[in-house]
Formats: sequence, structure tokens, C-alpha cells
Amino acid sequence: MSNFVPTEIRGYFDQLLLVDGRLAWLLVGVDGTIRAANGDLAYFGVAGMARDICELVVGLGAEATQRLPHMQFGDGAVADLHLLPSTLGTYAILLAAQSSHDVMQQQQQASNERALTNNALRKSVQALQLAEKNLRQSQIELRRTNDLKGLMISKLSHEFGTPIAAVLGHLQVIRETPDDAAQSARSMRAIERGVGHLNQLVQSVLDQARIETGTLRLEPRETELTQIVEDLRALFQPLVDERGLSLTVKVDAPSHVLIDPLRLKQILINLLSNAVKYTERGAITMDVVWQTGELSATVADTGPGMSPEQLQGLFAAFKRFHEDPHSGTGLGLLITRELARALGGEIGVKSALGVGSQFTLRVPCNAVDKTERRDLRGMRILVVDDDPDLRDLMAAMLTSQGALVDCAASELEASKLASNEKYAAALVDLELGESSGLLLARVLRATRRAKKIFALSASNDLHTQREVEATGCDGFFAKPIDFANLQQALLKIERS
Amino acid sequence: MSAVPSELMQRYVASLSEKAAFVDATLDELRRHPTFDQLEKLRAFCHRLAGSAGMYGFENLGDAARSLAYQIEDLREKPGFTIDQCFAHVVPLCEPLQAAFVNVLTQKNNPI
Repeated sequence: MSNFVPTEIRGYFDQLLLVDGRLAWLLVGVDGTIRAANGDLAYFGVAGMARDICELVVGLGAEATQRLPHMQFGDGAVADLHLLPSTLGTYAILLAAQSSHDVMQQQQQASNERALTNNALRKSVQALQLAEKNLRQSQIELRRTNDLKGLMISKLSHEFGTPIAAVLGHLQVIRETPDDAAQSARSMRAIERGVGHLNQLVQSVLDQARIETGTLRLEPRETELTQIVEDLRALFQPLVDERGLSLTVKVDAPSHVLIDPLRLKQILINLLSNAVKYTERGAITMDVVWQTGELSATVADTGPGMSPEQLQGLFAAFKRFHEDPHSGTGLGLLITRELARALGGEIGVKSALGVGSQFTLRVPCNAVDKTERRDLRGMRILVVDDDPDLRDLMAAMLTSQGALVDCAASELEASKLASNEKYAAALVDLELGESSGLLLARVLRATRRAKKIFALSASNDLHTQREVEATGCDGFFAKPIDFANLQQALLKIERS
Repeated sequence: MSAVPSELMQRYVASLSEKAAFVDATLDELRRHPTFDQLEKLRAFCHRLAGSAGMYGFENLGDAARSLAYQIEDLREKPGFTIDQCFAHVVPLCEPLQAAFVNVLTQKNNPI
């Protein structure tokens, strides 16, 4: 290879050398072979890759001067590649471009960082916009809640004020006409009605507060369902007769079920009283059906019915204040639904304008088999309670049924007993003075010294019940304990 | 299950005046030296009484005790509550329980 460089090419080199000192060049002939080369070829990595550069030159087929920036061959330094066609072939000139490449990379890096910053900024703005939107929504909700509270206070003031005024008025009448026995009797009845109404209002407000604070107490127990249904029929029949309506009640369920009778009754009374209140003519029916662990009670009426829009806000607190002159506290249906949920169920509603409404309560509920009663003969039971009055009473009651009972007053005593004996059931009070019944329940569960563990407590709010559930107890009995329910739970263990 | 055995019932009835006296004594203690421990002693006592009274057939007494136990819990959690104010707050709260004791001890609601 010769180092011959034509004058015009040399002039080009000189210009490039003014810019950057490192340089190499190759002359690639028209046949794609290297005819001449010089300069720092190794620096640019071309020495070992001459074939690559030849292929590149031939591939590009340069007819005019071309500049290919930031080329790299193998591990060589970054170069600006200049291709200069000439009569002898194409000159490929490599000029060091590391510094400009670095600058470009830094620029690229800066540009990437700017893009990232912009992206983060965009995200922050979006988050701020979302927060602002949520804040605005919260403000609207707060304003609505505030309005509702104002509405509630004004409504309750009116609701409470009316019967209080009536009671005070009739007391005045009694005071002023003490000798008029007939008038006194009428006034007494009016006072009773007024106080009854006040009591109902107070209960509604308290129930709503208990639901909201999670302190609603549930007491599931063996309940004579047929008796509840009969009580409801007896309660509503006079009202239904008075309004010229008919009431049909059908029951297809076991006579006894395990449920909180007070709350079940409260739900059904609410549904029936709404049905009676809104039905001008026609019929009210109540269908109670039990099927495989679920109790359903459907109350249907031939009242005015509701439009889909009215159904939407049906369970909202005080929703109907504006719309309905018949409405009571406006809490009834809300409480009914929350009670149904507390029982583990739900209330469904179907309604059509001009046809009537149908409310269905569905709650999980076990039937009680009254035919399988047996005693607790031979069953070993551990009773743990720090109150000797209660401990001895439970021991006596269980022993009278044939159970073999051990008693403990503390967690320590109970643990000692359980280390020597396996129990079919442990009845553990949650408050054991200095020690914790929940801790003991956990220990008994972990060591499997009791087949079933039942928690006992005089506190029976939802918080306590949730604590018991979290501990993994098999059941909870609120004091005073219903022994019939306790016996039934114990008999189930024996059967299982 | 069968009714409360008579010897246990007698023992419980006999203990009621002592239980009523415990409430009075604890209140007196709260008046002289109000402490959270004393208040807790009263609450724990009411909690136990709430459990046992109903089971021995003294439902009203049990309800009054349960209500007082809850009220003491609420009182302790009330913002700004200090133990120095305790006596003034607790005395009226105890009245229904004391009245229930009087009823039971004068045999108005005695189940036996």
C-alpha cells in the first residue's frame, strides 16, 4: 500500500487536523480493497476491522463527500467518518470525535433527565389535580352531611317536640281537672301514646348511633320463629283492620331457629309498619321461608310503589324528609338495612309505581332441631371465670346435665388443668381479672387442649365479638348466658 | 337446663348486701382519693355483676351494672376527662345501680 495522498485530499486533511489532532485514513479502491492507509488506525479500531470499513464504503457507494458522525469499529475510539470519492477510489478519513460524542451523550443524558423531570412534574400535577378533585368531593359530602345533620336536628326537634307538648298538655289537664276521671283516663292514654312515641324515637336514634359507632349488640339465641310471626300478626292485625286492608302471613320454616329475636322482630316490624303506612287499599303479605341455612322474609304490599329514581335513595338517612309527609324519623329503612347486615344478611327491594313494593330480608340462620336433645353425659368441660358466683353456677348447671366439669379462676389455673386434661369444650370468660381470657383462648387453641372454645363476656358489643372471632373461638355467649343455647352448642360438639 | 340450685341462689342473695356496700365504699374511695385504679375497680366489679346478676334472675340489677360499666368506659374515653372530676361524674351514674340494689334487697324484684 502506498501513502500517496492527492493534493486536494491533503488540503481536506489539513482542515480536519485544525479541528481535531487525531486522524487516520484509508483509500478503498473501486474493487473494495485497501489501496493505501495511514495514521492512527489502531486508535480507531480499524486495524483489525479493515474489511468492515471496506464493506461500508462499497455499500454506501459514495459519489460525493459524506460525513458519518460518531462511528465506532470494534473497541476503537469514536470517530467522525468522512468519505471522499476520488479518481483513485474512496478515501475514508477517521477523525477523533470522542469529546463531541461525550458532549452529545451528556446532552442526551440531560435531555433524558429533563424528560424524566417533566414526567414526574406531570405526574405530580395530575396527583394534585386528583387531590383537589377529592377535596372538592369531600367538601361537597361534608356540606351534605352538615345539611343532613341540620335537617336531622330540625326534624328531631319537631319529632320530639310534638309528643312532649302533648304529654305536657295532658299533664296540665290532669292537674287542672283532678276530679274528672274520664278526662284523666283519656289524658293518661294520650300520655302513654306520647311517651311510647318518644321511646320509639329515642330507640331509633340510639340504634342509628350504635350502628355508626359499631357498638350494636347482637344476641343470637334459640328463637321460636312461629311465635315471632304470630306476635307480629297480633300486633299488626288491628292496624290492618282499621285501614280496611288484609294481612296474610305464611310460614314455611322450622319452629325454632338460632337468631337474635329482638333484631329480627325489629326488622320485620319496620317492614310491616311501612307496608301498612303506605297502603291505602288492597293487601299486605308476609312470607317467611327457611331453606338450607338461610331465612328469608318477604313483606309485600299493594301500595303506591316507587319509581327507579325513588328506589335509588331509599336507604339514605333522612332521604324522605322532603318528599313524604307520612315519613317518621327517616331512619327506619336505613336502620332496617344495617340491622340486616349486622345479622350477616341483606334487604332486597322490588317496586313498581301503581303496583306495590316488596321488601325481602335474607339472613344466614341455622334451624334448631328440637328432637335431638340429649344431655351432656360424660362430656368434659373446662369453665374459666374469675367470678365465683358465675363459675359455680355454670359448673352446677353443666354437672346437672351429666358433664364432667373442671373450674379455673385464672389463665394460669386453666393452663395447669389443660396440661393434664383434654376437654371437649372450654368456656372462657374474656375478663379474668389480671389475666386475659383471649390469651388463654389462643393458648388452648394452639395446644389443642380443648376441642371447642367458647368465649363468655358481659360485654356483647360488635367490638368484643370481632375480637373473639379474631382469636379463633368457636362461639361467643353474652352474659347472662342462655343455658339452652349453650347446651345446644355443646351437644353439637358431641355429635360432631 | 335446670333452675339455679337453691344453695347457690341463697349464697348469691346473701352476697348482695356486700356487693351493694362495695359500690358505696368504692364511691367513697373515689371521693377521697380519686385514681384511675379505683375507677377501673368499680368498672370491673360492674362488669362481673352484669354477668352474674342476670344469670341468678336479677335482670334489672344486671342491666344497671352493665349500663354503668359501659358509662364508665365512655367517661374514661371522653376528651378532657381528668380523674379529679371523676367523683362528680360517677355519682349520678351509680344511682340506677344503687336503686336496683335497693329494689333487690327490699325484695321487690327478688326472684326467690
